Amino acid sequence: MTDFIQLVLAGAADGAIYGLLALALVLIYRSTHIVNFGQGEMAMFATYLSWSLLDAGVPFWGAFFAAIVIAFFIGIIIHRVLIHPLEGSPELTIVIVTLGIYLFFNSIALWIYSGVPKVYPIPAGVPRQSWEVGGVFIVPYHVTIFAILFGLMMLLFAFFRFTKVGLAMRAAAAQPLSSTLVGISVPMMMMLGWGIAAAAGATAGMLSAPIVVLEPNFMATILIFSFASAVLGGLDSPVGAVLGGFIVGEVSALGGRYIEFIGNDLQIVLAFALIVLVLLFRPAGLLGRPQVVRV
Amino acid sequence: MTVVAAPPLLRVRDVTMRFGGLVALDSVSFDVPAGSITGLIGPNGAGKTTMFNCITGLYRPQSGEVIYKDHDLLRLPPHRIAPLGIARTFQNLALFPTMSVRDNIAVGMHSVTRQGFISHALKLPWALREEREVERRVDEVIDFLGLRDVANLPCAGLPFGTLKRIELARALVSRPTLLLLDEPAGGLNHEEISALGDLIKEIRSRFDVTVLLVEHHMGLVMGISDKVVVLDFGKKIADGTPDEVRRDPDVIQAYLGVDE
Amino acid sequence: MEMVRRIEWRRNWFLIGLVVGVLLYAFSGPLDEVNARTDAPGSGLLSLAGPIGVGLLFFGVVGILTLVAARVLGPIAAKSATNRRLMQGLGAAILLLAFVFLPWYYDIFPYATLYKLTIALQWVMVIIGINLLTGYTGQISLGQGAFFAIGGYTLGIASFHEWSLPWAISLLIAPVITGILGFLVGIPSLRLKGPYLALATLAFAVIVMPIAKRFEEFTGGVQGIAMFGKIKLWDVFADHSDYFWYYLSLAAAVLMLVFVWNIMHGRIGRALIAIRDNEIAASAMGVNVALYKTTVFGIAAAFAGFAGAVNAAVIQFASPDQYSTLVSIRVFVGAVIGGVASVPGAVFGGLFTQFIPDIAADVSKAAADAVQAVILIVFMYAMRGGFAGFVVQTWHYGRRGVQLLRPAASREPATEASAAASAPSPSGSE
Ligand SMILES: Nc1ncnc2c1ncn2[C@@H]1O[C@H](COP(=O)(O)OP(=O)(O)O)[C@@H](O)[C@H]1O
Ligand SMILES: [Mg+2]
Repeated sequence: MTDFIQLVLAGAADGAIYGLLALALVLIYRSTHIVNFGQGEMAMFATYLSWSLLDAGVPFWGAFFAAIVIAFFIGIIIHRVLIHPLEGSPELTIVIVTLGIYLFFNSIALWIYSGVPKVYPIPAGVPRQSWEVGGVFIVPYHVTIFAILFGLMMLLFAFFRFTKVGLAMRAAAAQPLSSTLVGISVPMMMMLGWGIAAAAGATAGMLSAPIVVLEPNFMATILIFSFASAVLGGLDSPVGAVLGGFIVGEVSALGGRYIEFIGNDLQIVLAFALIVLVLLFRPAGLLGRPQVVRV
Repeated sequence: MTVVAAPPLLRVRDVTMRFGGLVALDSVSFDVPAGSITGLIGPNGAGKTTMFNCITGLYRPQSGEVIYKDHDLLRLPPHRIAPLGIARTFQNLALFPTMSVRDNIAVGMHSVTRQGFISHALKLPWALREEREVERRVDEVIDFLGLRDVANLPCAGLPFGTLKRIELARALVSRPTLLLLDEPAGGLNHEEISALGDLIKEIRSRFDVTVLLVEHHMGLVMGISDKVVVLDFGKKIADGTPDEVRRDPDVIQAYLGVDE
Repeated sequence: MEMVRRIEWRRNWFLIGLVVGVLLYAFSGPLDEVNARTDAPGSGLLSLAGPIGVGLLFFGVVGILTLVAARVLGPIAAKSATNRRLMQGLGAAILLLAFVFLPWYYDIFPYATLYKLTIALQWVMVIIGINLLTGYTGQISLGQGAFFAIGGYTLGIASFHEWSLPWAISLLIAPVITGILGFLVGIPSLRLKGPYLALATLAFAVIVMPIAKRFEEFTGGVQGIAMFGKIKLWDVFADHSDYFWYYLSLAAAVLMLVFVWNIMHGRIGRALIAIRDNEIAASAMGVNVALYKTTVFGIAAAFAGFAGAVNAAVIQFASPDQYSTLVSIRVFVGAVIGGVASVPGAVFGGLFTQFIPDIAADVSKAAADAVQAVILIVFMYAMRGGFAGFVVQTWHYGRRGVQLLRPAASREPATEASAAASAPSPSGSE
C-alpha cells in the first residue's frame, strides 16, 4: 500500500510538470489556434540559459526568474516575427513553421552546449533528504514542484480573472472580431499569450531538468506527455490541461509499474495510446462537447 | 399536371434532425415525383439545406427514412449516394479551390468511373480510355454552360456567379437521375434569375433529370416547379402545385410573418 | 538612389541574390580563416557567409535558367498539349540521364559521393510518399521516419538476425509490412485533421524506437543489428556493390516517382486533391474518402519502408541511433523545401535532405538543423511551394515578360536594364 502511495506521489510530480508544459500549449492554442510543436524545445533552451546563469555564479532563484523573463520575451519575439505574419495561412504552413522552431532551438542548443548531459541542481534551500510519513517517503523537491505549479495557477487565475489585460486576452481569444470593435488589440493579446506560454514552458523545463538530465533532447519526450495532457483537457482549457497532466502522470507511473510490458521505458507508449484514444473517442477532450461540422 | 402524378423517385418519410436542443427538421415527409421539378422553399433557417444534407448522407437524422428507388439513403455513407445517380450543388459553394475549373468538373465524374490506383499508376489501356471519356463529357458540359473561357483557370478567385455555374457543371457531368440544387439563384440579379429558370427547365429536358430545387426566390420557384414543398421552422406546412401553395394561409403567414 | 528604388525587388530577388551570392562567396574565404583562429561556441556563425552565398548563387542561376527557358521554350510548349507533354517527357529524360551517368562525374559537385547520392535517392523515395500523402492528399504525417526505421529493421531481422531469408526477399517484404502498417495507422488518423494529425503521427514516430529497444531479442536493443559484410551480392555485382546500390535506389525512386506522377494525372489524383481541398464535397462526389486516405497512408509507408530497407542494406546496420525522431522531421522539412505538391519537388527534396546538413556542417556540425530550420522558415514566407514552386513561378514570370524595373512615371524606359534583360520588357501590367 505504501508502495502504491509512493507511486502516486511520484506520478503526481511528473504530472505537475506535464501539466505545466500542457498549460503552455493550451495558452497558445487558445490565443492563436496553433499547436506549437516548438514549445518543448523553447522550454529546453530557456532551461539551458538558466544553467548558463547558474554556471556563471548567479544564485538559483535569480537564474530561475531571469530565465522565465527571457523566455517570455523569446515567446513574444517569435510571435511577432514568425507567427503573426502568417495570420490566415493554411494549417500546413503554420505547422511547418513551428517545426522549424523545434529544429532551430534543438540544433542551437546542441551547437552551444554540445550533447553532453549537464547536471541541473534542485533549487537552493530545498532539502535533499526525503521526509518519512507513515512509511511513505515524501520528496521535498516534489513538494516544491507542486507549490510552484499551484502558485503559477493562482497567479494565472488572478491574472485572467481580475486584471484588465487578462480579461482582454480572454475576450480576444473567444471573440476576436467583437474584441477588435471594443478597441482590444487582438495581435497584442496573442503576442502576450505566446510570451506567457513560453514563460510557463520554461518553468516546466527548469523543474524537470533536475529529475531527468539536461541535454538538448530532454524535452522531446516530455512534450509528447504534455500533448497527451493538453489533448485530454480538450486543448483549450487551462484547468483541463493541468488535470490532464496529473492523469497522464498517474497513468504512466502506475502503468509502468503494473503492466509488465510497459516497464520504465515504454511509458511514452501509454501517452501515445491516450492521445489516440482521446482524439478518437472524445475529440473535444474530457471536459468539452463535440459538434457537427456545418456544410 | 401529369408530372406530379408520376411515381415518386424520392420519398422522404418522417425525417427528424436535431442539433442539441434545436429541431432543424421535425418529422418531415414529402415525395419527389420522377421527372418533376420540385421546389423546396421556406424562410431562412427553415431546414432546407439540412434536408439536402440528410438526403446526401452528410448529416445523420435521428429518425425517419429517405427512399430513393429501392435504396434507403439513410443507411448509406455519403460516397455511396452519388453513384446511385444523385448529384447536388451547395448553397455556400463547395468547390476545390486549388484545382482548375476543368478538374473540378471532372471530379463530378468520379462516381460514374471506376479505374483505381493500380490501373492509373500503370496507365493501363482501360484507364486511358476512361480518362478520354471523362474529358469528352467534361468538354460537353463546359460548352453547354459556357465555361470555355475559364476552363483552365484555377477556381479560386473567379466571380461568385461563375463558381455557381461550375458547381452546376460538376453536378451535371455525371448525368444524374436526381439533381439537388441549393439556392442556385443566390447572388444573381433579376435578369440572370429568369435566365436561370429557363436553364433549369432546359437541363431537365435535355438531361432527363428530376430536380429538387431549394430556393429563396419565390418567383423562380413558382415559375418553374411542378410541385412545391414548404418548410417552416423544420416543419412541413404545405405541399402541392405552385397555385395551391400560393393560396395556402399558412404559407402566406410564414412568409409575411417572418421574412419579407 | 532613384534607380535602386525602382528595381522590382520582389520578382527579381534571385538576380540580385546572384550578385550578393557571388560577393559573399568571394569573401567567405578570408572569413573562414578568421573562424579557424577562434573556437568559441558560435564563432562558426561567420562562415555562414559561404553557404548563404552558395545558396543565393544557386537560386540566381536556377532563376536565370528558368527565365531563359520560359522565353525560349515557353512559346513552343504553349502551342499544343502534345508539345507540352513532349517537353515534359524530354525534361524528365534529361534529368534521368543525368542521374544515370552521375556516378562518372559526381565529384564535380562539392560534398557529393556515390554513397551520399545513394542515400539521397532513398530520401527521394520517402519524400515522394510524403508528397502524395501531405502535398496532394493534405494529410500531415510527421511519422514517416518510423516506417523508414521499420523497413530497416525488417531487413535486419528477416535476413540477418532471427531468420535468414535472402536479403532480396526481405527488401520486398519490407514495403509490404510497412504498407500494411501504414494502412492500419491510417485508420485512426481518419478522425484527425491538420495539427492533430501531425501531433498523433509525431507521437507515433517518437514511440517506435523505445518499442524497438524493448524487443531486444529481435532488434538487438540499443546495439541494433549489424550486417557488415553479410550481404552477399550476386557475383556479377560483387565487386561493384556501391554502384549496385546506387542503381537499385535510382530504379526504385524512378518507379515511385512515375507511380505518383501517373496517379496524380487522372481520376485518382483528382479525387486525392479533392480530399485535400474539401473533404465533404469530395465525399458528396462519391469519393470514398476513408479508403483513399488509408490507401495513400499505406502507399507512403510502403515507400518509406522500402527506402529504409535499402538504406539499412547500404549502411549495413540498423540501430536506434540511425532512427531518431529527428529523421521524421528532417524528411518532412526536406519535402517542404523541395516542394510538397510536386513530383520533381521530391527529387530536389531528397537532395536537400542529404546535402543541406553537409553544407551546414561546414559552419558547425551541430548547427546543421538550425540552418535547415532557417531555410524552412524563410521558404514559408518567400516560397511556400518550395523549390519546385519557385521554378514554376519563375517560369510563369518569364512567360509574362521579365521586368527589372518598376514602370516609372517619368524618364526613359528600362534601358539600363543590363544584359539579363535579354527578354523584351513589355508594358507594366500583368
Ligand atoms: N451543423 C449544424 N449544427 C448546428 N445547427 C445547425 C447545423 N446545420 C444547420 N443547423 C441549424 O438548423 C437550422 C436549419 O438550417 P438550414 O437547414 O441551413 O436552413 P435553410 O437552408 O432552410 O436556410 C438552423 O437553425 C441552423 O442554425
Ligand atoms: Mg440553406
